[in-house]
Amino acid sequence: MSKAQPEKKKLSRTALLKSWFIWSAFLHGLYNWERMQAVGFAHTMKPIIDELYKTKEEISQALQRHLVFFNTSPQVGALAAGLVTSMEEQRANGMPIDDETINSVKTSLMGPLAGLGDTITQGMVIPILLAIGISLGLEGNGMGAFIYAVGASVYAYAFSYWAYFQGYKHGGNLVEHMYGSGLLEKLSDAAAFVGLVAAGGLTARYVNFRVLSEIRISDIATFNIQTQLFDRLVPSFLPLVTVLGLWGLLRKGVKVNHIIWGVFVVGIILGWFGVIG
Amino acid sequence: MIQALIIGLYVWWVASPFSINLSFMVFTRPLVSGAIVGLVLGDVQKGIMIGAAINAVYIGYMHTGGSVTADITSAGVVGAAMGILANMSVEAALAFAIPIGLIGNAMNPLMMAVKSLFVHRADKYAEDGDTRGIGRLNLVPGTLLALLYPTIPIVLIIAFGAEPVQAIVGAMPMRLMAGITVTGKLLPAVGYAMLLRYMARDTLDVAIYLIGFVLAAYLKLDIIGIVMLGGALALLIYFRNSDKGVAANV
Repeated sequence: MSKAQPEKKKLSRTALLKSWFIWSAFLHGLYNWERMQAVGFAHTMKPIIDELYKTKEEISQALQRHLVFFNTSPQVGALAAGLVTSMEEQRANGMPIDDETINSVKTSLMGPLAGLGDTITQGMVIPILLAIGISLGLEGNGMGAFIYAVGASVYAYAFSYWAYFQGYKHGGNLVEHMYGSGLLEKLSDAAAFVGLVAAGGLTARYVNFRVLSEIRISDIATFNIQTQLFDRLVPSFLPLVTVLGLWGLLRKGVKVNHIIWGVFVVGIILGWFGVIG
Repeated sequence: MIQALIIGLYVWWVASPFSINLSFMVFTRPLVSGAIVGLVLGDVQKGIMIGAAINAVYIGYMHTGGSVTADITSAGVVGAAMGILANMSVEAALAFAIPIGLIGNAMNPLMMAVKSLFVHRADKYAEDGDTRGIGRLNLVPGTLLALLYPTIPIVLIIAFGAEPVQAIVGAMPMRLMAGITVTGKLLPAVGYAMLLRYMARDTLDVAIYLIGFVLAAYLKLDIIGIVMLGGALALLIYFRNSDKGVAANV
């Protein structure tokens, strides 16, 4: 039916904006173990499907194609949504793009985009913005919360807008370019670099616990490990060693939740006896 | 009571799909929710101080592949509300919020399991070609479930919890309080270890982390300066020689 139409189907600006907004706002509407963001992805495609396909058969097929397991990072991952949108448009215009092709593009993109996106968003942007907000907030300055809220909101929507429309405009070429030139990897590495530098700085600034106990050397003299040793040689020595030690546990495959409960128990014991504080 | 309901509306909105995904980015963060709870309860300054203190514990916390490590919504909202209503110090409120974040965290995988049950309904809508049905399904169950958790428990705690909490915190041995406070100081280390785990490509990348540590611990740079320096280094390392360098080498 669509092949019989002489004029080319072109998605309206409104449909694209609706689709982008649904992605950015409701991707996690029914986030679940079984298929993660599948329903959110299908919802994202609703304005696109409504505009491109008319028969019940086509619509049903399109919805089913987008209800498969999907999981990626929301901001950077918008690129996948834009790309798939452009593939749907081409398909509706009679290009030989089958379900299999669309599925394999989605599956091959979601992992790398999640890696890149989580590194940029959760590894770099959020901790840095939070650190700025918290440093003001601890002093009771309301601007801390405000700056964080505005910064994180603008980042989320501006980035997903950019990524969605880049994906839509450049389609498969962009992905090829990103992989081919190593840009994806470079961006990811650079974001990880900034995130790691920031994490190092934050460890020194925001993890504060010190040894309280003193060692008795004789009846009149005591040795304070914190002020007489750590503070002189390596400030924030304990936080650094703790982070590196926990990192080692994580690398060995110890579950985060077990570590957290472990920290809870160890913290209460050390605090109870006044060893650290 | 009215205040508890207003906070409840906020929590419901945050936990529902209608927070347009800004919940994770913004409104679940104790820094922000603490300020808003403070606003509702008439003590913004204390709200934000407690919120910031709680959030400092969770700076490095990541959400990957559905697994999270703390219920920061409950920790932030309940911590700030109880801190103000039960007239606790910032430290005591923090010590109270941390166990709540740990316990509440057990609910997240449960909610995601319940939502799995609705996916088959989506398949049915897809078969029928019902695009509206898909949209509805993406929004309605999540909204209703958000009311069950965390909204109702949080409202109940805020409405009726102030006195018992005050009594419990008051009766807590000083040593236990000190212990929970130490836990609060240790927990951020877990967050940074997670960041390190996620971002270090290989063991040597710990060197990058050490650069940041040295800048703050010895040179006392603040975080904006550290980030600018880190960004500048990253640009030089990863982007400088990308095209020109290859051309020059040929």
